[in-house]
Amino acid sequence: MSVFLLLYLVYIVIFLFFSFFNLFHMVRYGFVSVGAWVVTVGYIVITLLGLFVSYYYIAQIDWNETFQILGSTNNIYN
Amino acid sequence: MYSRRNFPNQKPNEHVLMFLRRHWISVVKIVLINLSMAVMPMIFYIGVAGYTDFLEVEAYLALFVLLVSAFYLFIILFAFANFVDYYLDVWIVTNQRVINIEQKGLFSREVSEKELGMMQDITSDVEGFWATVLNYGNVHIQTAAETERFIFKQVPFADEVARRISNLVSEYRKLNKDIEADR
Repeated sequence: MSVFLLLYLVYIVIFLFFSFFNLFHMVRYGFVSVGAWVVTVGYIVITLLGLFVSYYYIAQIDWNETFQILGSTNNIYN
Repeated sequence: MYSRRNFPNQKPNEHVLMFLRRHWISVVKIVLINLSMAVMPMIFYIGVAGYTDFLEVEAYLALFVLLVSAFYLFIILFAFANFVDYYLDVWIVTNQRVINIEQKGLFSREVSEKELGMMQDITSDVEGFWATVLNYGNVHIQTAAETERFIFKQVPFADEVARRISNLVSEYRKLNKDIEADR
């Protein structure tokens, strides 16, 4: 199951890479304005919040446990 | 960061007369698209949790958490990248030239400029329901070069912008003629 967590972490690294370049463009080439400042700071805050909430839920799962994904499709309906 | 009054490669005695971006409806589109995407996991969750025991299986819950997290991070990044693209596309008209700055994706940026005296044909078009109602459109500027050099995309008051640039070009040429005559 931890393989999914690993894939997720790779995704987070890619996400942070693109976030960095977007923020870099805003800081380097953007024109000063209150709107741009609000959106940029808002993006950082929402991203941190999103990562924190994700961590909160992900941390509750025991990723060392072996899950049976395909076999557990039986009896999922009420 | 640059300011509206001071931009890169500004010449002496050069003043910004128009500073243009796409119409604010572009930002509204970004917000609406991303909001509609953001409700999709909620609808999925209500549908799945309400009618099945799907998420009571720990394996599926774990996958669901990862996928939802990845999806929302993607939405946040997608929205911000779209805003950056909107915000960094700028058209500046000064008393000497027209400057076209376009951000094309994350790793491509194009800056082109032309003196007002080189402008030949300036036209505007307003197409579509929303463009007509909200009064925005494209301004096409043909330069002395054969290919069309500048397109101001979805700028507010496109007709007025085209008219003002035409007037500026006329004034610029007249001023230059007077200077030449004085010499």
